[in-house]
Amino acid sequence: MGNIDSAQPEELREMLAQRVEVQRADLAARYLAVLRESLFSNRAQVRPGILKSIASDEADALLNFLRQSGFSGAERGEVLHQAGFNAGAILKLGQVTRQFLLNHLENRHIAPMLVLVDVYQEAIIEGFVQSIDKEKLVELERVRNALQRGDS
Amino acid sequence: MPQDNIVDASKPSAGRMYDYFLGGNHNFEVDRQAGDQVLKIVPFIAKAMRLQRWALQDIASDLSEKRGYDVIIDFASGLPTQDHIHYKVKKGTTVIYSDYDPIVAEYARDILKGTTDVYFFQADVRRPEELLHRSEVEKILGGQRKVAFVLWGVSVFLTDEEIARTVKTLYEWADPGSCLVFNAQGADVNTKDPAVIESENIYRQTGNPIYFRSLDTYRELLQPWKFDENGFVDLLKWHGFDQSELGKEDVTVFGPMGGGFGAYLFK
Repeated sequence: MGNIDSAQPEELREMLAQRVEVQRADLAARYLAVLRESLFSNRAQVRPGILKSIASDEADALLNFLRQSGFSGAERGEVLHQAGFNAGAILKLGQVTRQFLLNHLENRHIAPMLVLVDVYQEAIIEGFVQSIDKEKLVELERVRNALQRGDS
Repeated sequence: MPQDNIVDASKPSAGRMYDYFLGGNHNFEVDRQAGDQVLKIVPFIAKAMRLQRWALQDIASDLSEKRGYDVIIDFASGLPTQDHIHYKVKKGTTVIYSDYDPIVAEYARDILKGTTDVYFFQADVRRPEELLHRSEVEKILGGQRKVAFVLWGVSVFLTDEEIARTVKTLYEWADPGSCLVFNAQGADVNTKDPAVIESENIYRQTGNPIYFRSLDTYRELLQPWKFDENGFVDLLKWHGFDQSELGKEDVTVFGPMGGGFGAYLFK
């Protein structure tokens, strides 16, 4: 087990980033495949035409997370929610990320990689949920205002 | 978008059921229950609604950027959420939305607050002249009558007479070169299929009866507007899908084209 933690966090990030960069097209294609599968279960604003760019952005977001220590996955989660994706799509994207990195890493790097990916995905989910909450509050306020004006 | 009141939560509303099928938040438990009944008998309906809704943004960019219309008048709009017309038009394009429901109109104005060149009025698609002759609308248009009309997602809730009257009124009001973008909902569905009959019953019980008709009947009702070279395009093809999106039961109920079509017509 001594080798598992042999890579320092920054080294691991850079190593993962390099693997992602080399295989970026494959990763984006995998993201696209799961987005396409869940297309009809998202909100209607998610149109077939935007999936390719979302998949590409998703690969870029992962790269940014690995390369920039200050990068927040929460912002990405918020973007995905505002784009109209549902929780199922977010979870599937997370599965793809995990599976992709598992396929491209040596065993000794898997455990620290999973820790790192969990951090990223927790942040995405946090941003996603916060965006849902924010939207609900705005909508409640709009409904309240509309009802008041509609009644008067 | 069906036109009924968004606030009466005691009975299902076709408008809010539509929102539920689209994965929206503007629906109540009673709508979701009725929606689930429909989904149970015709599962493809949620897909059909999405195919229909997705086309709106294509229409918006097509009208504004490719065909050069700088005024778009949309009827039975529902809420102007992020997948609606004004998000995809060229800057400077005037978009006039309308809906029968006063609460939707108020809510919509709140959503559009601060958005330039986009307006929302309460108006009934069955009496489009009331919108077109409103003093505020006349002022916005400044005498311009070469416009693009959008009648999308509402035809199944209108009788034959209502469709014919509405499109004729628009034709008579508009200048030559104007466009009508029309969505033929539920065209050529199998009206003898028990699932279709049951869906009709559910909608009738909500107080929002639906009317299915053949594509040929739609063609007749839309006269004297002239179709472009593509005629009615089925919405699967519109979005680059093929019939693999349809299951065997879907084909039995909706027909091999999925039951929804869109067309550009001109004066």
